[in-house]
Amino acid sequence: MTALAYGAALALLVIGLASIVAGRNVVKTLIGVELASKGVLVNFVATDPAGSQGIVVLLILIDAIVVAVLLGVAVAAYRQYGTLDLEALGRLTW
Amino acid sequence: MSGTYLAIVPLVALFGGVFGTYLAGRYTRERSTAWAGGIAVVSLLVALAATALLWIRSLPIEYALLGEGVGVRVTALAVFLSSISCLVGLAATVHATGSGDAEDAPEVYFPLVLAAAAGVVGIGFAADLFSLYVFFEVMAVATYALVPFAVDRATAVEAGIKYVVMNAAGSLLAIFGISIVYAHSGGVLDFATLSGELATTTGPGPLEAAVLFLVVGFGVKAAVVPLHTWLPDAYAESPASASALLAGLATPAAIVAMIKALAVVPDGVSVGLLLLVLGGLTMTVGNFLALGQRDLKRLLAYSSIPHVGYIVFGFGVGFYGGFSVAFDGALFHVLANAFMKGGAFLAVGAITYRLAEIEGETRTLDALSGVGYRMPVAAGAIAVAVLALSGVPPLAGFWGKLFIVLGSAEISGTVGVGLALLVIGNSFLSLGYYLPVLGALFGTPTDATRVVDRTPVALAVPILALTAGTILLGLAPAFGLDLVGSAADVLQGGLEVAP
Amino acid sequence: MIDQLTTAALVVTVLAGLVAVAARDFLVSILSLSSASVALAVYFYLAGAPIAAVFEAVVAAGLVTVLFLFVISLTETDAAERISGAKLPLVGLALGLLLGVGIVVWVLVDPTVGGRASDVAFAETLWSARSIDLLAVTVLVFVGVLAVVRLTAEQLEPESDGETGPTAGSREVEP
Repeated sequence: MTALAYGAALALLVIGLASIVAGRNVVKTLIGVELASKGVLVNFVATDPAGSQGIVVLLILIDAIVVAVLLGVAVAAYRQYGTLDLEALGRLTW
Repeated sequence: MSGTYLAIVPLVALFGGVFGTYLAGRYTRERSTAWAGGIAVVSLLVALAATALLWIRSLPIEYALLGEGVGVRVTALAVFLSSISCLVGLAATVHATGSGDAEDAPEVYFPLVLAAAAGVVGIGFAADLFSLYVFFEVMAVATYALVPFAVDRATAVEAGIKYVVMNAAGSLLAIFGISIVYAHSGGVLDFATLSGELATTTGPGPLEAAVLFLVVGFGVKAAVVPLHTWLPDAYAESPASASALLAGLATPAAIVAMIKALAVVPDGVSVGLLLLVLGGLTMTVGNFLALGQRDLKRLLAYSSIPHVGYIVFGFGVGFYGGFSVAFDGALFHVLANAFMKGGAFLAVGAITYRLAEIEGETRTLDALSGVGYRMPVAAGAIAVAVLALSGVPPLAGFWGKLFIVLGSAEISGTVGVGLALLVIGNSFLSLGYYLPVLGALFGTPTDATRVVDRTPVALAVPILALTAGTILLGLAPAFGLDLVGSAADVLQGGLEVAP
Repeated sequence: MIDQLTTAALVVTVLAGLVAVAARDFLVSILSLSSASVALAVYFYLAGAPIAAVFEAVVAAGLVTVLFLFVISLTETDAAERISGAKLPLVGLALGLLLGVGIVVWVLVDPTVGGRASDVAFAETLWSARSIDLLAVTVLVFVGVLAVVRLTAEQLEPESDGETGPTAGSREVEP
């Protein structure tokens, strides 16, 4: 059972990272961030469901804050460029 | 147990400052920058004083808010990070009060600066791996808003997008690594017992994966090549005091956080070699990237990358052979870097602030030509800083590099000599872009630099303070080595606490 | 039975995640992300972490979904029309809240489920075991709110004041 959970955690991380790396749109990138962070949660819960609850609750809050701030940056970028397309946002060199 | 509540004072002072500066900035007349800045300075001074008091007690001190559970653990490393954090935070705050950085939103700017400083203090104080991540994230989120702080400038927002996306992904990898450690150790995260716990577990497989995740995850924030691509834009586009905070504090603190997390890994996993290779790569690539830059702030930003390299390399040598001199060198360079880079970015900010009153383009070396005659304080500070950064002997940057070179030379055979030569060669390479800076600062004045005003007093004070630190630390390295040595011992001992 | 449910919850989470990443339509992506959170909340509950399940359902499935929908409605005009037609943010929030409340009620009514302590005991252990982290997260929430206010409130034209909530228009606009 735990092995399956760890597998799911890794799968979520890989899916999330793929979306972060390949996503053309900022929103897709942020969806990747959310998914990958769920993988972390699964890892903690699968190891020690009751004992890790404090950590998991705090992590959920932290993830929500991070995604909110990232969305804020996305809104700021949209106001400057009129798009959320990452390739169109390529004025400064990577 | 009496008196140990002092252990929490630095954190509480800074957290209180976060709320206090918001209220002061929000509800005083005219949204006063002076009030918010004043409160920020007070809370940083309180934190610094408490840190100094902690240093003269017998360490480590443990303290939990309700007397049980995970609290803070004050070690020499915590005092070390806390001192750097407060000093750089003070300089950045005073500078922001005097320049226009916080002008349009002091009620947001100062809380963010204090939160970033508090995050770094917390990285030192964290008693377990999860606390380390939480405080790392406090620092990271504060800087997420500081980089694109000029939200009406498109380039700043774009630098911000790059910065937050890469760093959010990095934080995720770091916490995933921590979750693997949690799974591997069976639910133990406390630094006091973790390294012992991990040493008894069988099979290094998951642990090696965890090390990779931790190195890559914290490595993004630390700007280890090839994860450095956000750095030049972020440093160049953020306000001057925020750049100083990022370069002098946040990035080196991310390296220390990485090392603190890696210090618990038992000897069987080759952490040292990995860090050695990454460090060597980072300093070399960083130096080549910095060559040929014409924009002074961007040049300084690029030149931060090789310094990340020196520090990571030093820790790598230390882990590789257990050489304490390399640990000392790396941590000493963290301290020196705070003064050198902090002073340099603040001085660039002062010059930009004055030149912006006269002409549009203010940061290229050509536009700055001869500014040293009218703004001797700022230009002198940059001169001292770049000389120190390139490792010229009687200045702060020399000693850290010397110890790192000595440490690498301890590795037996030609490899050790080669590694030592790599560091020395890189230092000479860096002169290739530092000398043009000196040439430009004291070159033929342009029309603008001939009439520019002197450095404002409020900006000159923090710049002079950091420059004085660079010089003093170079003349009397024993002054810093006292603290650095104890902090390095904590890291080298795997953060174990004797029961 | 519990095992099969747990497996199903994990599989649904991963599949919904895949859909969220692969879908071309942003609305589909966001709603899949929300379903992944709901499935994950079910997994947390079955694994024996009810409080974490409540938080996952309310914060991740509810709040974060609403945030995403809000940004999409600001930035993608065609998606915005469909959202305002269906009032999707409200639906998402309501679903997340319902699930959260449902789990809380379930736990309160039947404290034997999974054999775990009550909410109050959990709150105490969270506070005493992770007080310093809780303090840090409190500051983090405040810092995050400040950051979002700064990043989104900015239009620099007086007309836009108040557009993004009471705090958003609070910055002084220079004439």
